[in-house]
Amino acid sequence: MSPFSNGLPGIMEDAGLVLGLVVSLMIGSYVVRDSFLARLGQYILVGAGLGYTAVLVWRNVLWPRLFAPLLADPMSWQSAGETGIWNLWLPFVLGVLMWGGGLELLRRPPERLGGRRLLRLLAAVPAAILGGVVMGVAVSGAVQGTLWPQLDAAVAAADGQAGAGQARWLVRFLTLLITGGVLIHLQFGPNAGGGENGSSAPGSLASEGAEAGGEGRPRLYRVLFLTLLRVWEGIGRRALWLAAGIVFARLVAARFALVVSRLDYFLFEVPRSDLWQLIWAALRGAGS
Amino acid sequence: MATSDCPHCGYGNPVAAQFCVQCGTILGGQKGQPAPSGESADGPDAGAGEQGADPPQPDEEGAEQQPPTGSSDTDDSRDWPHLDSEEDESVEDAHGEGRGLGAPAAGPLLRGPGGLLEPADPLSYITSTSGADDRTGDHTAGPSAELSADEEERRHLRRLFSEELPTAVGALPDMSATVGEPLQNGEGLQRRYWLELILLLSMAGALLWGTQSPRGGAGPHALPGLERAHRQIDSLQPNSRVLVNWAYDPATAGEMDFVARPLIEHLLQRQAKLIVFSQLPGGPATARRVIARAEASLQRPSRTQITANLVIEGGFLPGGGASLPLLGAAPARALPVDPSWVDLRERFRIAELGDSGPALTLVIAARAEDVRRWMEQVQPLNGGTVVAATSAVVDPSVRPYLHSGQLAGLVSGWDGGSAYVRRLERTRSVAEQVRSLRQINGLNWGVGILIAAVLLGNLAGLTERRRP
Repeated sequence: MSPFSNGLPGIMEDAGLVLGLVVSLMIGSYVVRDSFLARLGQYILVGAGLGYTAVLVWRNVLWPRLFAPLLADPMSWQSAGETGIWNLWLPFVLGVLMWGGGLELLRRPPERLGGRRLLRLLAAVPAAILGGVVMGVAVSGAVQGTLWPQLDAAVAAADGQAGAGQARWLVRFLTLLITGGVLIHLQFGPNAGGGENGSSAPGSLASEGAEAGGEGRPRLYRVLFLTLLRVWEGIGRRALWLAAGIVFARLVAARFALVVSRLDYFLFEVPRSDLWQLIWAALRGAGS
Repeated sequence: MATSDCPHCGYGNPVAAQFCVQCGTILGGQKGQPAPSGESADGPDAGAGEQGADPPQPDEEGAEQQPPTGSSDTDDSRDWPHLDSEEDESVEDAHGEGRGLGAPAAGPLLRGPGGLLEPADPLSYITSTSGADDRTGDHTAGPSAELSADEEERRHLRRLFSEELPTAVGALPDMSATVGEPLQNGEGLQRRYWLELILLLSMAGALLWGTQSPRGGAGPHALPGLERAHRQIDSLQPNSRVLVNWAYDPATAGEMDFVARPLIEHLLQRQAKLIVFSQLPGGPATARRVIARAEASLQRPSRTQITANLVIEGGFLPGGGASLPLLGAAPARALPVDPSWVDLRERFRIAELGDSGPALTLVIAARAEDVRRWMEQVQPLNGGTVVAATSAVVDPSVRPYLHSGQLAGLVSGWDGGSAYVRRLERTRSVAEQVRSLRQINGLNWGVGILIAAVLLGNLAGLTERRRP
C-alpha cells in the first residue's frame, strides 16, 4: 500500500463522503434560516479543524523537533555548545512564555495572585520577537523579491528587450501612458483637470489652478494642460477598470469551479458510494 | 446591563461585543454608544464592570436582575480579553469608524470565526416563539420586556438592511425611509435568491444532462506560461529533487485539485523525487489524497512501489513567511519531516537539498500571497527554478512574476489544469472524459447565466433611470 493512500477501508471512505454530505447540508440550511443545525455544523467544522491542527503541530513540530530531542538530551547545551540553547531551550522558554500569556484567554487568574500583569508582560517578549522577525522578513523580502526585480523587468521591457524597432517605442509609450494615467487618477480622482461639466471639486488640479490665478479668462495653455490631464486620467481610470474586470472574470471562474465541484460531489460522488446506496435501499425498504 | 442593538437583527448585545451574539454582524463601532433601547444609563464604573459579563443567552432574563456575588467563579468575574481596549480600537480603526461616529457596520452575517464561535443555545431554537418566516430568528422577543419596547424601530432597521441599500461604509442609514417603500420597489433580497436559485439549477442541470449532449460553449484554453511549465517539468532527469509547496487545503480543493493533479502526474511520469510540504494544517492530508489519485491514474505496473520511492512527505511547516528564509538557506533544517513517514535514507535525500538545492520548485497555491512569499523569501536565496500552479483568481496577481522571468511557468485555474491534461498525452478513462464534459457544460452554463443576469440587471437599471 502506498504511504500516500489514506489506508481506510472502502466503507470508511464512504462514511466520510456521507458525513461530509450531512455536515454540508447542515451548514447549507443557513440559507433558509439561522438554525441550531446550521450552528452545530459550523461548530463541528471549526472544532474538528482546530483539533486536527493541534494534533498536526504536536506530531510534526513540537514532539519531533522540540520535546523528543530535549527528553533525549536535556543537557544539550553542554554537549553541543551554544547551538543547543538556540535550537531547543530558547524556543522552549519563549513558547512557555507565550502559553502563559495565553492562559488569561481561558480564565482570568485570581486577582490576589497578581500574576495577570506579569504573564502579559512576559508574553510580550516572544510576541515582540515574532512581530519583529515577521516585519523584517516581509520588508526585506518585498525589496529583494518583488520591488527590485519587477522594476528591473519594467525597465528592461521599456529598454527594448521585449521587442525591437517600432514595437519597442510602442511598449515605452503605452507603459508611460497607462502608468501615468493610473497615477493621476489615484492622486486626483475623476476631477483631475475639471469635472464632466466643467466644475471642479475642491482639491483637484482645476480648483487649485483657479485659486492660484483664476481671474478673468483662463489662459490657453492652462486649458490645454487641464484637458490633457483629464484625458490622461480617463485613460488611467479605464485601465484600472480593465484590470479590475480581468480580476473579476478570473474570480468568477474560480468560484464557479468550486460550485461545480460541490454540485458534482452532491449529484455524483455521494450517490455512487456503496454506503449511500445501502442507506437508500434501507430507506426505501422502510418506506414500502 | 448596558446593551447595544444589532443593526441587522435587532438583538441586544453587550456594549463591548465585537460581534452580534445572534447573527454575527460586526458591531465594532458601537462601543461607547448609548443603548438605543434606553435600557441602561449606567455610570462608567458600572459599564466597566459590565464588560466582564457573559453574553446574555437568548432566553435569559436581564443580567442586572441577578444579585451580584463576590465569588470569582461567578459570571461577573469572567473577562473577555479579546474584547479589551486595544483590540477594540484596532477593529474600529479598521472599519474607519471612530467611537464618536458610532456608525454600525452593515457587514455580512458571518465574517470571520468570531461570528461562528458565538455561543448558541439549542433550547432557544426548540422553544422559539417567533414565526417561521422570521429569518433572523428573533426568539428573544417573548421574555425580554425591553426588547419589545422599540420593536418597531428594529423592524425598520431590519427591512432597511435586508434591502442591502448602497450605504457607504461608515455612513448612517437613512432612518427616514418608510417600511412600505422598499416593498413597493421590489422584493429586496428575494430577487437575489431567485437569481442564485436559477444559477444553481442551471449548473446542476448542465451537470446532470451535460454528458448526453456535445459540449456547449467554449472549452478550456491555455494561458501563456503553461507551455513553459510543461517544458520545465518535461526536461527533468529521473530522480531529480523537486520541492513541492502545497499551499491549499480542502476549502479550495474543488478547483485546485484540477490544477495540481496533472502536474503531479507529470512529475511522477518523469520519475522526479518529490519532497512535499505545506504551511497549511490541511495541506499534507490534501496532498496525500491528490498524490494517491495521481498515482492511480498512472498506467504502469507496480506503480505503488514506484510512487512510494518517489514521494517524501515533508509535513506541516508552521510560521508563515517568517519560516521561509530558512527553507531557502538550509532546506534540510527547515523541513518539518514527519519521522513516521520518512526513513533514514530519505533524510539523506532531503539533506542533499542543502548542497545543490532542488532541481525545480512547484508552488501549488490558492492564494497569491503564498506565491509572492515564495518569490520574496526563498527564490532570491536559492535562485532555483520555480513553477506555480494557482487558482484562477490568483493568475493576474502573479503573472508579473512570469513576465519578469522569476517564474519559469504558470498554470492557473481549472481551464489551465484541463489544458495541461491534454498536454500529458495519456489516455483518459471514460469516467474522466464524462466528468470533464459535464463540468465544462456546468461552467459554461454558469457563465452564460451570469452574463445574462448582468445584461438584464443593466437593462433594468437603465429602464428605472428613465422613469420619472
